Amino acid sequence: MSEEKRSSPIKDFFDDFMLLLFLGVTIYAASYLIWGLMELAWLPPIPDEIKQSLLGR
Amino acid sequence: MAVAVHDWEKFFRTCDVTGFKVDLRAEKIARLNAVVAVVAFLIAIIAALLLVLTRWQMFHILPVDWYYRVLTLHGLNGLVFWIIFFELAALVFGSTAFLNTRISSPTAGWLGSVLAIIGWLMVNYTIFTGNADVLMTSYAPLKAHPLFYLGMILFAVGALVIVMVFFANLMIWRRENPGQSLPLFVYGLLAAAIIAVVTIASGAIIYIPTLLWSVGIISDIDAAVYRLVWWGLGHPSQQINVSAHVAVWYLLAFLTVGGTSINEKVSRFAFVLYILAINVASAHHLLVDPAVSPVWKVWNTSYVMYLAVFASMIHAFAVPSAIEVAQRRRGYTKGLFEWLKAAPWGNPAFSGLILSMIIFGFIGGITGVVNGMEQTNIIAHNTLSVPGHFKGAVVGGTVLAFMSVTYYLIPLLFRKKIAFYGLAKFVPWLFGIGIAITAVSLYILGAFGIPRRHWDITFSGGPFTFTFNPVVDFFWALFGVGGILAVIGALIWILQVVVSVFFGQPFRGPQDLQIPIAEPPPPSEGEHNGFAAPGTFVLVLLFITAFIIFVALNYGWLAAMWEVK
Repeated sequence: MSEEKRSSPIKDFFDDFMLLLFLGVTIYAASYLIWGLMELAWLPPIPDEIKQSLLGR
Repeated sequence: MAVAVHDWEKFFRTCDVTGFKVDLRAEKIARLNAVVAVVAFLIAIIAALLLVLTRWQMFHILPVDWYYRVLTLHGLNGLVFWIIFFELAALVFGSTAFLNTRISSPTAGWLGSVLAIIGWLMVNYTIFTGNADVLMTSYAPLKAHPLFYLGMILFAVGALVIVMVFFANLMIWRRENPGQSLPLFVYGLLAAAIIAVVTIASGAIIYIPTLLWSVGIISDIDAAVYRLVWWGLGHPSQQINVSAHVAVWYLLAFLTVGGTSINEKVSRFAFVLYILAINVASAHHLLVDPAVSPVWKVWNTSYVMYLAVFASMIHAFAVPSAIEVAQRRRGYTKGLFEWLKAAPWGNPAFSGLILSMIIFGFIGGITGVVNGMEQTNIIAHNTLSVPGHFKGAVVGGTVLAFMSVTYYLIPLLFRKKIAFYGLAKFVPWLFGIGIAITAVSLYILGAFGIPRRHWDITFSGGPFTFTFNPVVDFFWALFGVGGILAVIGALIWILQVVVSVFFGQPFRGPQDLQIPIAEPPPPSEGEHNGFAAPGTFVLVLLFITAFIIFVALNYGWLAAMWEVK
């Protein structure tokens, strides 16, 4: 009971390993992966004549 | 009910040195993963010797195809398999013995271990047989045999299963100990486990379509998408190492001098920063990639990544200050550094800990920040400075920390006496000094523009020739000497581990303990007046000065190379 009284929001946050897992995965997914993939998806396709010349055809 | 308690007890032993209640089922799983880790390390070290004697142009022993084969073998066994198997052992043992609790599912633990080992064998088989000369990054459109990708997927799934077992163990502990916080060492392992989830998930996301591409089900793999997602595996796998080895630093400070963090909340905060911010640092591998925008690069490699750098600097103060405070409590209070002079340097775990911190901070850490910044990265990108950085960070930092803690694991986990213990005090110095020389030499060679992953920098037989500044010959020789010293240190350590574990004398109790475990000294009166750790404060100022000088030098070199008018 005394342990519970000493509990603080910061301690609760640090001790909540499932919340930390969620945040760790989510921040990475949003900031690096999804944002990065969206940028790649928005890239305009390479013009066909340039593509063919690069491929040496 | 009494019968149930009796049934549980048969799965445990009480450690006669630490007093920990050790789940025998978890102990066996941890032992298996640790043994496989050492075998993977042996492969990586033999490959390292061959690579040193190939890149050192004076010897140049491997033909071109074997150079890339052995480089693939070295990269995957050294940077992925050895370290992750060791960490899996730490996750299983740390989340049971250190918490005095049971393993949640031994079956899942065995299943994960077996899957990971099968994957590791498949990857090594395909590389040895010449079917996967794709280097560690295996960038598409380089294509390996499907067994290579399948092996990587099985390894990742196996590792993920063990990480899930770790989280389930924590849940059991939480139910049995409501309101309590994890010990700091296990908290560091928790950070490593969370980063591992990100790492392994990224590996699965990219290797599954790549496997389908290699068997012809998918016609194309977008190279830019591959690079982006693969680096979600490639760099965070090294961040698992950082979290795990920092956790090991705290453990070693406690075992060798009885030191504990002077502010556990701040140390925990630093681990939380790792969890939240360190994974996005993967973006620095794509800093010269034209496919992603500067905004994405700058956000991920500076604003967010600096939080992780800040976390490392907190640990860089917290661990040595823990040692200093413990030593001062023992009466070593004269001047700024008597505590350091009087430290147990004859204990290989202590000397290994100190060398690991110095090499990680001064070589791996400082160069990592410079390589990770968009502006200065361009000087180092794809040169030998990159392996120079990670030889300091991963090999000098993580590997040396793991080697050092193993001197405690042999008696406490494997219940064996350490073979050839007299040699142990030389191992951290041989390996540490060797790898420090190697890392610095590589970094300087990179500064002269020498590319990484290159079989022959004389370009013999090529359509053009290029001659580097003759001073590089000196650094190639230095690189070779450092590499050979490090290999000798590593081979002695492997010999000790193998002989101890498989042929060693049994460890019967505290009377057989060759390596000392320090008693935590009681707090002394008036220790909170003034600085608790003034010597560490001075060392940290020295580190920050070196950091600022190196960053300034790099901006100077950048300005000299690329004049802006």
